[in-house]
Amino acid sequence: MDSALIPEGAKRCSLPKFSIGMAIVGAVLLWGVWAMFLCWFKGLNQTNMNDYYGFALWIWADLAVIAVGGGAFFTGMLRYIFNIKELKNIINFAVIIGFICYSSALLILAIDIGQPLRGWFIFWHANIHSMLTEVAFCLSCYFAVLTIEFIPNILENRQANKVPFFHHLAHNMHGIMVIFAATGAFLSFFHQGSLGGVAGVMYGRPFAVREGLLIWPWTFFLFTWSAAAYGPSFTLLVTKMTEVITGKKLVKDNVVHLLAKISGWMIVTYIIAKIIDTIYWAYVTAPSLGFKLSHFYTDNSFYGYWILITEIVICGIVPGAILVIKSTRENPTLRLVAIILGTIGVCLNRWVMVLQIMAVPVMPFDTWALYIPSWQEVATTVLPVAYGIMLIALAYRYLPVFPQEKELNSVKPITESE
Amino acid sequence: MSELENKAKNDSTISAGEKIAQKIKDDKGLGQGVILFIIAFVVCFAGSTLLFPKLLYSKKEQPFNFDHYLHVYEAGDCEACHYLREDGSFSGIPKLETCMECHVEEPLGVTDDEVVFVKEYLAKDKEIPWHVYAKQPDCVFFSHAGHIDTGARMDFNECHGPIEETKTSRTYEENRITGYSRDIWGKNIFGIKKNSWDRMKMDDCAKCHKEETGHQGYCFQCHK
Amino acid sequence: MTQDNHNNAYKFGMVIDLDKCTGCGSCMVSCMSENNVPFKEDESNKRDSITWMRVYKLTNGKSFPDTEIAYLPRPCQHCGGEGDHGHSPCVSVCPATATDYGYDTGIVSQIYTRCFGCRYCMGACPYHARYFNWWDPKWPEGMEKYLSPDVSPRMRGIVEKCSFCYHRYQAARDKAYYHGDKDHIKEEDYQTACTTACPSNAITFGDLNNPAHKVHQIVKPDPHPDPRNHHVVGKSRNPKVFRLLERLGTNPKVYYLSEREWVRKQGDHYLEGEWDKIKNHHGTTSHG
Ligand code: SF4
Ligand code: SF4
Repeated sequence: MDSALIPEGAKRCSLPKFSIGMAIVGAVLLWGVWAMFLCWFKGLNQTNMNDYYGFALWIWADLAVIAVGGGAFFTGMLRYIFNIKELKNIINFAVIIGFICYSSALLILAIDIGQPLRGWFIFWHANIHSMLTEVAFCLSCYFAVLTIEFIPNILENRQANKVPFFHHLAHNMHGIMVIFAATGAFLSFFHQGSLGGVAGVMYGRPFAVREGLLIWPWTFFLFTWSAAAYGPSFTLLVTKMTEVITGKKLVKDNVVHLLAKISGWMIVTYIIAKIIDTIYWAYVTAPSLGFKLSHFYTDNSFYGYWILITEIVICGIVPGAILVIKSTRENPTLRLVAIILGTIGVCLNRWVMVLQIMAVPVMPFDTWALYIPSWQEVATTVLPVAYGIMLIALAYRYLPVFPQEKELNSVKPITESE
Repeated sequence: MSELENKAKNDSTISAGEKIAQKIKDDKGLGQGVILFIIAFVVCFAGSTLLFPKLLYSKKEQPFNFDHYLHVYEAGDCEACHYLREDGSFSGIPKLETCMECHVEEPLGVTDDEVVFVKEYLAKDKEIPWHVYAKQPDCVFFSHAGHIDTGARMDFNECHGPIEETKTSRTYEENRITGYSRDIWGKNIFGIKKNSWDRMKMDDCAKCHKEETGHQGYCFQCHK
Repeated sequence: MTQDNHNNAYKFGMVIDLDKCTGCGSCMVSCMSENNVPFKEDESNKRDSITWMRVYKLTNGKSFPDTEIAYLPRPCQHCGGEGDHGHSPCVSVCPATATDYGYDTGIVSQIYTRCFGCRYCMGACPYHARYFNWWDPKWPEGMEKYLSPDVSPRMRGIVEKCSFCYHRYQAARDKAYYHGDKDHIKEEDYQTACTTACPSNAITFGDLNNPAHKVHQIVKPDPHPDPRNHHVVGKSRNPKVFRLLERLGTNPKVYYLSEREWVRKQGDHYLEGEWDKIKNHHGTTSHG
């Protein structure tokens, strides 16, 4: 029925089947939208946040999607600026994932603020000393860049591309994409960093505070680095999921291996920096303020040393090692394990840098504060996931996202892939 | 080669004169475009200057006319009605009690407004519900003591305009969204001001403070 | 007006005598009614109800019969920030400039109509002095008439906190203008609601920069940075006086006074052995 829209030579499932799938995900999306409107009209009392937990699930979700969305800027930078040719086979997809992540982040922020109608104050009355101001500016600009990067791919849709204007526009935009990739990389370095800075500058919170370079605390650099490291892992993970769901091989192994290798080396270097940072903080920064390391990991029912070990060893050193060593990297199962662990690792890091900060008591006579999100918070956090799945499904169905798809699926039966 | 590139190539082979000629030919539709643009601009401009304020502000008449000119003449000066109290606070618009210092029982004068005043308020001992043109939003603290003779020695005209010469009370206009008096944003819908009293936004306060004291002031200086 | 925090006219602060405080809560009540603080029908969840001034209970952790208890009232500490330069933890992070540091008074403001409720400041404040309006305020029938016109009520979705009853400073300033002495606000003309309400006179409020004020005489603030931590300025030279979490370098303007060592020790975190080293010459490092 919609075959005229489907990329030439590509095989897609029937429209009714596709529609049913979309309807199921759409139902989840609607649930999230309902919760979103509840929050907007009734206020943030719909959440389980409180005065101890001013930053909670949403801010975590925000940081997490931006971190995993880092694949877009880093892959773009490698593709266009360092001119690594192979990556052109995955860059479209990386951009779409980035677009989804960043639009979700903006939406979550719009739900998260207590007076959404005053959201523009952050631009109009900007306090340039605040990390959040920097985040807001760079985030919005980078989202615009991602949109521009996404447009040519949309215009390559079979019908759109028949219009000469669109055809040329897409062509010419590809030509100047290097400028946008550079802008995107520049902006990303800043907002990824300032998101890390958000925590690092809170010198009233010994769990968060870090020394740093000039006005930037170490978390600034660590966040950028970890996004560049784990973002590509997430891109690979989503690609893998898409391949499993569609039952097709979409990207050639050499491309996957290359990106995995880059991600692996980034993770390894990052985790070394992270370990140094943690040790310095645990043995110098915190003790200088009178805190023992155990203060942050004991005396409560949830946050223990396990979280530190999981983040750094299981979800840092392990995936890093797997992806760096050639034999393990090229083993599909181990690689899958590594990219899953990596994605969990970066999300866990963001969790720690938002929720654990709030949970740790600072005044000596204060107590730990734990929190469980309300269904409205969960629903609005699931909302971007549902939206992401729908957008990926639509893009995959109607746009030539994977340049190698045709070649990989023309003669050989799909089962032989991998 | 794409069409664009073809075109670019062709362009470079024809002479400059031909190009201009071509351009003029291409510009046929331009005249209409300009006219359309002007019409659209005029419509939007007129709409925003004439219609938008009507939508934005509701009009309210004062309970009755107040003749400042006459009162200043009779009472001698402003302080007879508007004065600082001993604790430094400002009396604002006088209460009925102050009016009754002169207007005792018998009407003073023969205007219709006097009749309304006596019948509706004086006789019933009811306060007059004036609409206050200069009323600032609830979050604003304004110190009269800091600005008039006890402080910066400003003239009341600077903020209130030549109010002492008015013989009638103008219509009070209220912003339907915020509930603020129109005097805050000012009469001009684009926020353009000619006189110092035309507008009373925070920026206006801050500008004067910056000029006069070297600093626009910290938030709490004027917020509460 | 100058950006320098040390040569300005005022630096309002407070010292609370924890040996006098009985934990009665008068300060909390007076603060709420003075400042139009909204309340909920069910106030049992203390983590989402608003109390600008909150009284904490401290214990020495010992079992009967050695148990001792102290109460610690905690308003906003009006932090001067690292080095006392006015970059308070909360002020420096607010993206919309909805809270600023008044270099003329040392008071940290909060502007309700500017705040858009991102709650970053709440995360940055280690004292939990900032509260979010999770609900729109609802006053029982007729109670609006009893709200103070000097303090603007808040709307849902924004942050509020103790202002050191700034409206009382504004009134005192007006009075000083009227009497032709605008630069000298009298000690008794500007006192916060909690100070005046405390039945046991545990709270002393005034100008920390003015040697004639009682608060200055009790605290004797050291104008020089602490040689052991240059972020800390204004440490008390009275060994019985301490500030909360002083080592973080937030430089609060609220000081606490106690004769009891275990109470003073609860003002901050100390590694093993640290307390014993400093407890005796506490605050006396630079000026003996
Ligand atoms: S106590 Fe908290 S709210 Fe008050 S100034 Fe310090 S950081 Fe800001
Ligand atoms: S909640 Fe309000 S005052 Fe606090 S940082 Fe955000 S905008 Fe500023």
